[in-house]
Amino acid sequence: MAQGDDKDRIVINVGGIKHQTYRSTLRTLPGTRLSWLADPDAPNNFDYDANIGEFFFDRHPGVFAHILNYYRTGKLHCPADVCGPLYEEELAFWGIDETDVEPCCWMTYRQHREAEEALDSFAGGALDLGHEDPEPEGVVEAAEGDEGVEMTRRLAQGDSPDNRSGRWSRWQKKAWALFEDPYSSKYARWVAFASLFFILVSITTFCLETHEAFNPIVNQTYIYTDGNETREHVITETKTMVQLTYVEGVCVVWFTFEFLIRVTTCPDKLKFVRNTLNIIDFVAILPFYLEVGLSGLPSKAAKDVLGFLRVVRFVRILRIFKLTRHFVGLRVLGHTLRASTNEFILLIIFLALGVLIFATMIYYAERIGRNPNDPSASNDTHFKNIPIGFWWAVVTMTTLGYGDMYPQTTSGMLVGALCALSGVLTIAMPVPVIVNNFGMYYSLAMAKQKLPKKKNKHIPRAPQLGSPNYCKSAINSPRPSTHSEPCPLAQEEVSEIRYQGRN
Amino acid sequence: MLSSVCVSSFKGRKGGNKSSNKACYSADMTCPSESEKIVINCGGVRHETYRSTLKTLPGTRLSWLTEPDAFSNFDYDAKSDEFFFDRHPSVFSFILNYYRTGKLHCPNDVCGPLFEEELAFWGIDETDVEACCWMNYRQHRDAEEALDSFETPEPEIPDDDPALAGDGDLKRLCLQEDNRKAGWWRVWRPRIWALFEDPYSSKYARYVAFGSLLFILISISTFCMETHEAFNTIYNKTENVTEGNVTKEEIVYEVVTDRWLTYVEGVCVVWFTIEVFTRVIFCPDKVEFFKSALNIIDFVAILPFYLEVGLSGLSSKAAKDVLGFLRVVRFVRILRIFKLTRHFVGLRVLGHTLRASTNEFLLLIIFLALGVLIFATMIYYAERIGASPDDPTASVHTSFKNIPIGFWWAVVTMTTLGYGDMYPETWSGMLVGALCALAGVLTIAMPVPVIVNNFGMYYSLAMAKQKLPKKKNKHIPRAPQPGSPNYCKPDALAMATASPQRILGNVLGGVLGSSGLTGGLAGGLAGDCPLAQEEIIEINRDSKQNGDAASAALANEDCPTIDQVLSPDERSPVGRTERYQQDRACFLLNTREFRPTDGNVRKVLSF
Repeated sequence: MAQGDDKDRIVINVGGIKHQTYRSTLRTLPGTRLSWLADPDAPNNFDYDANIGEFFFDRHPGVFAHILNYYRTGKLHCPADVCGPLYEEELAFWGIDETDVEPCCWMTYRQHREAEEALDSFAGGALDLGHEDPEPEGVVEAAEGDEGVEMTRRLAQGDSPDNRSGRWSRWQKKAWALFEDPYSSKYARWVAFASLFFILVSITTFCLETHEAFNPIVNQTYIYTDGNETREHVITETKTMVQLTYVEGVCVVWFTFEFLIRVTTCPDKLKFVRNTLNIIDFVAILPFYLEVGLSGLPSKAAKDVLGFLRVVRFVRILRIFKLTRHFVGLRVLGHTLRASTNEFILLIIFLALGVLIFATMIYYAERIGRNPNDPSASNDTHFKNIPIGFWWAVVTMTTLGYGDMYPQTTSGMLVGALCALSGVLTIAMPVPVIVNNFGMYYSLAMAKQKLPKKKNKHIPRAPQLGSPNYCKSAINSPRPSTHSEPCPLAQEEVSEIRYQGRN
Repeated sequence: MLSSVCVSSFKGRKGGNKSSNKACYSADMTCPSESEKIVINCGGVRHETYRSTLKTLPGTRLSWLTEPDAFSNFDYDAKSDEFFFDRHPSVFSFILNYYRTGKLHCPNDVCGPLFEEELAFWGIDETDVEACCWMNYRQHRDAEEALDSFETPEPEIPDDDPALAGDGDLKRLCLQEDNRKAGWWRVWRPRIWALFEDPYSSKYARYVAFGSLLFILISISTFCMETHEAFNTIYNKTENVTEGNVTKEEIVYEVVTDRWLTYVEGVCVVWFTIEVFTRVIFCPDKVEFFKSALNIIDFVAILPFYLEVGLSGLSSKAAKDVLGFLRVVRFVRILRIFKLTRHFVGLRVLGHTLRASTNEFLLLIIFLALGVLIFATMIYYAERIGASPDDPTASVHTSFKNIPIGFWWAVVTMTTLGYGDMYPETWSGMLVGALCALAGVLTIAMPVPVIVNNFGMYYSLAMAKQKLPKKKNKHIPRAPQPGSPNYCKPDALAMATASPQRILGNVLGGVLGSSGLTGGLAGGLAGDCPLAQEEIIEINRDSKQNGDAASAALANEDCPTIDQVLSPDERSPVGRTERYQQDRACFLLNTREFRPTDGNVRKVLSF
């Protein structure tokens, strides 16, 4: 290649601002839109003004300076004053892969997209309404299609075998919305309130059941027959008051009703079964029916099973998670916890490390200067062994300080002070990361909730004459395919179509 | 082959894959008819784009550039073939980018209100801002709106004074009536009101504020000391009780508060009463006064004392019972501490923050309630593992007798208080305890920063408002840009948004301005306010809060009516006549170009 040709300067006018560079600079990134400017037939393919000798692109001029800088230095940085999605679009237009962004800019560049992706991916699993909507609509369309067919059929035969299914699918959709989306109608709100009310009542009875005021101790006499001899055996038993069981029964009947309707009307059974919330629904109503069914049986085995069931009752507390259907904040909390698994593990590892070290230290520190007559050296101290020291270390590091165990020697107090200090630091370090995640998701969720409906009068413009894309030229004048690189030039149109599709 | 090329170029981006091949083909087929480039010189920086790009948003200022008569309507320089706009150049590149990509992003390096103003000038609706930039863009406005919405219930003097004066002037001019008594009332009422309401209004107002502060502190101290046993002497009282025929003597222990504490309290109450009555009498708007929570507190906090004094004279048994109840009701006196909010900005901001963060508070409480419920249940069952079988309630060895008592433990643990009155004693219980403490740290840490952020935002805004020196306002509103097509403020808009005086001025001026007879009054009224443009911007902002985005979009129109009122030369009657003639010409132009009554600026214009 000729030296003079390489040194040839090129003027690119982006949105009115002229940028100058060498053709050789543009060739540093083959396969991108700018590299084709260095091709000999570029003036035909692009909007080239022969008079002033410049190429024109109708894009953001400020961001282009950063893009051109990538060609010059080989390092792609982001401008600090534009937000990530805008830069992403510009990168897509110029055909540059976003993974080329330098690590120093990567976090700010990806921040919004990551929050969005995390929310989306979780929402898909958690039966979020916004993402469920298309499916019922699909059902409706199918139903309407059915109706259309059905109409002709009815005209032809005077028979309506499909009438029921059509009505069924319409009702199915309505009932599903009634029980799933509290904002879909006035009645749906009432159903949601009723559901909320029953959840609260059921949780209250669950907690009250354990109080001794509702658990009178009853002396029960059992009559055993050992051969010929009949013996009376007195057992003291606690018996829950009947009223509470009735209240619980009413709640369970409502939950069963709700669950059955949701099962029968849900548009996608497989997804429904996979959802954790629905499994919780099911598991939480099961023990009651088992208990009622078994309580009729007088056999000894049934009694044992009942005793086990009394413990299993605690699964009823899982009903509290049904509240996530009603509160956005709780859903965001769930997303945050799932997205911050790494930080959680970090926190637990930090804490476990500290607990281990300080439990050991306190054990030996409390042994310094003990009475030599004491063989186990643990008469005066709370710290009889290292495992019990774990509890003390946890209580100290989280700055709980119950006061059930505390160091009593000077060396032990020193260790205690160190433990409390390191505990504050240990917890303070990973927590802000999790809290940041929460803040990001929360503000995004709030922005989505608060953002007014877009008027969106933007009419996607026709493909620009001036900046012909590469595909077009490939069709019109089949190029000798010296470039095996894929053509990234369709992005502009694609992004517009995506933009339409999003609304 | 082609479509696969396009798709493969798109890997890593989810949404676009399906439509990319379609895009390729559509690009092949269509050949844009109009690709004329257009140069816009915005504040000295040349921006170049296609006309087709500008047409993507019909009804906005830039889209009018593509119209055939744009050359005459805008500032067009035929020599350099460019349109000139005297606006911020770098913000304009973001605006132009909206036309190019269909997505409106905000620059991160300018503050929200600046961008808002630019959007209004270019006629773009602010709701088109993308979700990623929305919070950033609205941050300041949200804080301001929240503060405003909380401030309005409290009557404010500065708002009232000019209106009052204006009313008076107008009345005097029209009716030539001078009622002296009403005049005294008019003069003194705002002064006394300011004396008690605004500590910064005068020297005496500051003294009154200090007096009020002193009495509040004294009253609170007596309130607290009253409960100390040193000030409460126990007397043995003998009472004669007649049961049927037998009269018995019964010794009743009675607690009597020291006399002088009651006297101190009495003095404070007298002061508070004077203050409340003065404020009631002299307040400009009685309804708003009684709606304010602070004034209700004022009233409620002085009530028990008078009731107690009134009833203590009566010796009947019923009065004694009421007195016993009143001793409990005394605690409302602690509400007086909220009077301090009048004197400390930080306290007011705290109140606003709490009110604005209700959602986050609810979130915090729900998080905590959830954690408490779950961990109380867990600890209850965990402590029951390995209970001795002889124990029917299985709660001899543990302090967790039932779930409700576990709530207290869970709260104490989750907030890392750790009183130590209850603690787990089994291994499984300790595990639950450790989990609970960890979960508690996180639960509390998560919603708190949101609330703290709100507080910081409101506080910095309130501080900025307080510390910001009075504006000198040397900015002279500029003359209208000659080329601008809508260089006249639509009268309907002015009617809808302007204050009453301005409406009067505009209407009178518009109807009778050319006759020159009553023009004096109208011109005087309109010319009286040199800040007309700024005022309108503010009024427009208000109306935007009411959801009228259209008027906001017109906020910055260059309006010769306003601008010319400001120029001193135009004060002469001749100039005014000319002005209104021009005004009418403008009006015609307006009706053609704008449909101000429709309220929607971004409408496709019919030409």
